[in-house]
Amino acid sequence: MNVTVCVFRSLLAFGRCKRNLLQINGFASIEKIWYNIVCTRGVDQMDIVQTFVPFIEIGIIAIMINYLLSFLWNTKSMDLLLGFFAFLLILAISSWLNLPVLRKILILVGNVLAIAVIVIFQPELRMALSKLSLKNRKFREFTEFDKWLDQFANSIYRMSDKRIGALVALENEDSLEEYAQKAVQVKGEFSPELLETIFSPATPLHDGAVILRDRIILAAAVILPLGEDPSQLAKSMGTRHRAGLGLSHMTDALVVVVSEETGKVSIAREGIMTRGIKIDRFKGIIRSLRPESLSK
Amino acid sequence: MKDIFTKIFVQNWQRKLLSIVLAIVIWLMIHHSISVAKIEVP
Repeated sequence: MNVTVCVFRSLLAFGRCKRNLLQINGFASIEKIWYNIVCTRGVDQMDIVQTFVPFIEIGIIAIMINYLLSFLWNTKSMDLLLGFFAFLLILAISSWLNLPVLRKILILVGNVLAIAVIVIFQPELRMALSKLSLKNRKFREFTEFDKWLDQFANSIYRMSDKRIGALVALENEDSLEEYAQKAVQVKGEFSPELLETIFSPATPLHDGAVILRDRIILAAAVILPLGEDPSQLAKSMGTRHRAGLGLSHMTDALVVVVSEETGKVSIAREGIMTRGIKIDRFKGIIRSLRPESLSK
Repeated sequence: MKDIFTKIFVQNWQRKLLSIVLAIVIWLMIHHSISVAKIEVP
């Protein structure tokens, strides 16, 4: 403690020598804060709160800058932004060293630069402000999911109309990686055309299941474990239905089955199969039971 | 707990360091301008 006080006293002596500079300098208050921390005994609570105010302020400013930087990091705009930050740093140094002419020039240039930055980064700023709103974010996610669901449902029911057999597993919290590893890796963005092409009877991939993870077609021609629950399996159900039921029994995946014989669409979840679902109900079930991966 | 620590301090640490440095610079500049205004008023 004594050493600290000595160091502080020497700092104070240094400060007194440069009193004029320190009086108009932002660091004068830091000295005061340091004095509060080290030397004052019986500091009341108000002083303690005042001591931490700069740190809280700096923390909040840092969070705001970090948020804005997240939109520009690793983009071409970053070089320009670093130049702007260098300019800001020179301005701060000129203020600190009390260089009035340089500071005045930088402030005059900075006024123009501020407008230029707003114009240059207009798209990024717009994106940052739109993402700030929670309401808009939820709305956008909802419409994205809805768009995907419409495409997925239409694709499934087009195959149903054409009596093309299909088996699609929507991955939930339980990973389906072990099944995907043994099959043909696709890892392609979901599109109705891709899904229908996979299940087209003329292609080598049509026999087996498709695994969907986070709106990405992870693998095709996947071999799934067969279910053996007689209460859920009708005589008309083939291997495809049994595989769908088996997977839904073993994992928390949502499995969609299109019958090749009847064209009926079924959904299996937690070992229970619901058969002959119409498109509106299909969308309702997927929306209410949507796997976590699709909500991202 | 470890994940939260990693998320807050380790992930994108260069960006976070730059943010903190800039925050300090901005805070000092603004605080300085406030101090100057306070002295000039009387």
